[in-house]
Amino acid sequence: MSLNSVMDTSLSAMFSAQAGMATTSHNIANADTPGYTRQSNLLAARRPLNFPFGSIGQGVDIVTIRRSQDTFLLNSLRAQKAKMASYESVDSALYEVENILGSIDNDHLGDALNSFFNAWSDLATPPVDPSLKQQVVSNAVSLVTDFHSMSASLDDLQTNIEMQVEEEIVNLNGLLDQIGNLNSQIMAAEIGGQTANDLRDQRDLLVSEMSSIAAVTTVEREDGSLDVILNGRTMVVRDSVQQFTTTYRETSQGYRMTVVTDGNFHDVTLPEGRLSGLLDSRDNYVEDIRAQLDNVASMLVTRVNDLHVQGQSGTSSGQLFFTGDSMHTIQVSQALQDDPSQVATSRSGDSGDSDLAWEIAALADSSGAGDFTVTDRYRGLLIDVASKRASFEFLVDNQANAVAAVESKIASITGVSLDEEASNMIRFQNTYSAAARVISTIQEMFDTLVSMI
Amino acid sequence: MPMRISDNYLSKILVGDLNRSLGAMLNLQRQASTMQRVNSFADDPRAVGAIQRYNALISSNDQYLRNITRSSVIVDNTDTALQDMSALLAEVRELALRESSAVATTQTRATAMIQVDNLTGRLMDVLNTQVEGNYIFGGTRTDVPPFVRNGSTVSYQGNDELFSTATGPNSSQVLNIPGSEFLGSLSSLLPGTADLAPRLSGTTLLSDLNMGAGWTAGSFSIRDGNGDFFSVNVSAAVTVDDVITAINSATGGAVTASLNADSTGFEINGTGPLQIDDIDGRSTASSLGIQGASAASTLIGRDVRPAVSAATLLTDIAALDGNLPLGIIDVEVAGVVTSIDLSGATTLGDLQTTFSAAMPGYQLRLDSSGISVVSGSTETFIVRNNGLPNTATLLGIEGTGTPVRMFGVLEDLHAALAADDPDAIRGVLVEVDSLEQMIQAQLIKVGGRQQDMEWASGLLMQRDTQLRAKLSLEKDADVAKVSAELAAAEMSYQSSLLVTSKLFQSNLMMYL
Repeated sequence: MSLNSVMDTSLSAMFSAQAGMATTSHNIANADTPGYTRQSNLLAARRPLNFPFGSIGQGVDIVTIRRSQDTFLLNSLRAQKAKMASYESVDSALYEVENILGSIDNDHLGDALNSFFNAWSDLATPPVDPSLKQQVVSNAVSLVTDFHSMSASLDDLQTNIEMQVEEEIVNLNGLLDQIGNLNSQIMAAEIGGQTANDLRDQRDLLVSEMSSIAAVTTVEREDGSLDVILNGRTMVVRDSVQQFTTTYRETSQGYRMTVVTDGNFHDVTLPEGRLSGLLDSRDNYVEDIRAQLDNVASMLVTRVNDLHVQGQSGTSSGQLFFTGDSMHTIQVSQALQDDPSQVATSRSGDSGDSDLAWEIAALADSSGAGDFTVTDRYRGLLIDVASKRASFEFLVDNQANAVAAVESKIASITGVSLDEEASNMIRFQNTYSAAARVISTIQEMFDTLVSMI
Repeated sequence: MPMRISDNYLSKILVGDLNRSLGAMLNLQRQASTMQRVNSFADDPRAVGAIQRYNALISSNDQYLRNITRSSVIVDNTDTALQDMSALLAEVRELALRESSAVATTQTRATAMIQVDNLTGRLMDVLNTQVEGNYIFGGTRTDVPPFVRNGSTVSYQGNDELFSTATGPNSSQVLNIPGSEFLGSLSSLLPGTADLAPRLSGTTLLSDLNMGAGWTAGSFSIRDGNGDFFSVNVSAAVTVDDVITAINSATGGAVTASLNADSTGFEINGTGPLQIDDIDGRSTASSLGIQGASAASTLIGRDVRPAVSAATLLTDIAALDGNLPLGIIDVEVAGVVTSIDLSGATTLGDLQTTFSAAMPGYQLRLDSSGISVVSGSTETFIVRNNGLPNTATLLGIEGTGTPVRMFGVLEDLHAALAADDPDAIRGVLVEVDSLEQMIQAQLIKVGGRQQDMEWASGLLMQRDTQLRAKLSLEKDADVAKVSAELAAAEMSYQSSLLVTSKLFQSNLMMYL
């Protein structure tokens, strides 16, 4: 054992303190970088020199610079984010539906239905005023316009959802490409056995972003690359990437956009995530609202027509009041629009007889034994939308809390603590100073030796 | 091991808390600024349905009020027209008395004929009264004048149909009197005067109550003197007994229901004062005749008996109690008396059958709460008692049936004046008497309609207030509560901000 070897030991300490300071500096620099995982140097004592009296240490080596990551929590976060994105998509679509239906104080269709039936009541009320037939037709046209407007708004909503699907597909493909690229960079960087911490952070962040679009699972290979699997379909293998696209196909609900794999156009069953939430909104929630509104329109058409055809006006008899059978196709009979005097108010045709007009007006309140009225059916729709809105708002809030809890937990493990870094800084500074002091002492020992010569 | 607190962790926790605090404050601020508790469908899905329902009910309630306001013009004009007719008949009476007196001469009678022509014209004007272009005495033929003059006779070209206006979800009010009731030259009529509506029993159908107008299914509330509040749901009730059972079981016997002493309605007993109100904007208690308050321990409901029908048992009619079986009535037509034995009758239908069989061309007509005798000819007839019990009196048909001929009277008077026949002129007075009675009866009927419409209007306004109060309960914010909560939320948010700023102000770096 020589003084030189002791000096080497101190040098290793100074080097490790310098490296520690560099890592601390890197941590502080990236304290606010999204996806950054705090790093720390893993140190190990050098193999000692063995002497008859025992072993003397040789200093310290930096084994590796490691990331403080928790894979279990990371996977949990991705799963929770996928759920949340799915709920948010449906909640957002239902919010749009609520706006289409109106507000608590401005219930378009409900008001139009009330006005329509009240117009019949006005027409029926003696003293009879035939000019009120024009009011009935005008209110019916307004009601039909409301139905058409809602139908068009729901169409627009579904188109907007499909545009969002397109955007998400572009995002997803971009993320898949970037993960493929990072895979090849990581493989190259880790050939020497080192860990490409910052590249892995970036890749983890991208996988998390992708999970919000569609839940994925990952499998890490020995070469450091990450396979990305979406519902059993492997989308990324090392730097090889399979992408998605959209196409339009005939479905049970009509000609609809579906998500397929790029190239061979195989259907993709989407797992939880924003994409599945969007398609679920379009195919189930919005479609269900449309079906219920169609039902309201169809019921209105049938019930009013069943009565109106029994009547006769001064100039005609047996006329339908409405045509069509859905909110999109419902129309006020053109003949009545052209000549409102043909609106029938009675079976007898007598000018003062309003039996039919009363019966049509009464459709607002009664519908026969045990059946719903048109307004009951519409109210049922409002309650249904309101319940779903409340339910999804609750789910989103709840899920946001779940995501926040996991994010906090991850931040607790992977986040940079400036207090901790400051403490490390002092520690590394002290180590460096102490090692330098050892070297200075050895120098003095050398000087002593030299002065003896 | 204590949890590691990184700066990111701290930031996420604090920002999450700030967001929650701010979100709660925003929600309260929104309630305070709109004064509404429910601003979005998601705020309270149940309330969304209730608000829509109350809005629809308020809208239809407004419509019923508009119907009444609009239609009352017909009833009011009918009333005015009837008073004009009454005044006109008074002139006819005065003219007939004057021209049948000793001071009348052929010359005055000739002049009076011109007056009669004028009176006929005025009567036609009255009976052809128009309201907003609608002839009110033409039945449902409102677009043509109901009475037209062909030479010296007047004919009716309207019909016998009634028209009505809706005054509630299940109620309507007849508005018109068809002109045929004034012309009536084809029949003679003896209107009944006795109340023959059957008393209630446990099996009486609720749909028959209120003279056949039925009832409104739903719920009502009962509050007794102990301060107990009961909600009684009788939606599923079919008979009177069902209602009694529902009340007794809903109140656990604290408040009991039964038929009142004369079985014309319900009687509610409990610790007074008792208060029964409709709820949910429906008129269930009102339609059962028990809506109201009583300072005592008994609340007597109003008369809700059913209308008479052919199936009505004579034993169910209070006016006939102690006088069954019925006896014999005599009907005299042109000096010929026919005795009709009604002792075998057990229902009003039996009376009709027996009467028509004994007097072909005559019939007993059922009129909601009584019966009238109608003949198919214009001949006068007389109905009398024959022995005890006084059957004709009990049935309210003792008296003289006379033809109702508004224009016929004037035609007869005109003919009598032309014939210069004082006796014939005096004879017209009998018909004038009959017509005046008929007009009085119609005036009473129209007055009843006016009262019914005012009552319905009051009920609708009361209902409107109740509905708006319920809507407000569902929709509006409790301002005092919201203000207090908002102040607390603001304080909480400010505290959060202060703590957050303090936490981020210091770290170890500052002390190096």
